[in-house]
Amino acid sequence: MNIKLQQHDGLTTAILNETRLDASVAPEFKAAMEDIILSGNNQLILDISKLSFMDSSSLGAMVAVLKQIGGTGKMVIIGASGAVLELFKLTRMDRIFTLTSDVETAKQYF
Amino acid sequence: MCKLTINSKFSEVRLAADVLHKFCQKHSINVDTQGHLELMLVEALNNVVEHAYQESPEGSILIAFERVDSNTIIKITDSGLSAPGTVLIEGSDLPDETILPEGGWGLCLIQALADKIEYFRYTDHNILVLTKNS
Repeated sequence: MNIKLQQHDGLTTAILNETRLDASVAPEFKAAMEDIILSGNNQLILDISKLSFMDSSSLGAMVAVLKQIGGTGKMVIIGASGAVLELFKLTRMDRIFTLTSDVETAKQYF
Repeated sequence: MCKLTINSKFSEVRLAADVLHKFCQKHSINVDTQGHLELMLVEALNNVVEHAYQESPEGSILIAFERVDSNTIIKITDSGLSAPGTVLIEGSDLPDETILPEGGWGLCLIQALADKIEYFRYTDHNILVLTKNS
């Protein structure tokens, strides 16, 4: 799982360098994100702008990550578009995740 | 018609999605519809791997893509356990988002995206036919 981390202003941006998230890699994604959170990165911007496809098992992994962040942390997702954004909307999980288009907008939520 | 057979592994579901991409390009199916077809296909195949074959990799899944008039038809044949009741046709309720569900969306997504769903049980195999007007 290719995830690049950037730190700035006390926030961590995790850039997912994958074009596809599905059931074959969802457990690996979840484990990698949980490692990032356990390393102290609980003010997190997750950039999924490179994703062109994501299935519901991957959405479930993102919900698990959100739970891992817990009440004291925060995660904002940026860059969901096309079929990926539609998945969030069809499942109504766009009401649960904070979704924005870019980093500058995401920073306003912290 | 385009056909392929995969083993019941999540990693092989991706192969079927790749073939669907090529099928959509050949038939000039727009990107939005292609995204819907891919999600329908992947969710249906994940269900076969997870529920029909109980994640046993020995299972075989036959997939066929066909264009009939303005419809794209995805036909999935497996020899695993049958789906219970009429759940594949009628779908199920969308999980309550407020309890932070980690699954249970697959059938709802298929139901939301497909224009027609048919499910046939035979003695030794099951056939799911998903039709989308495109």
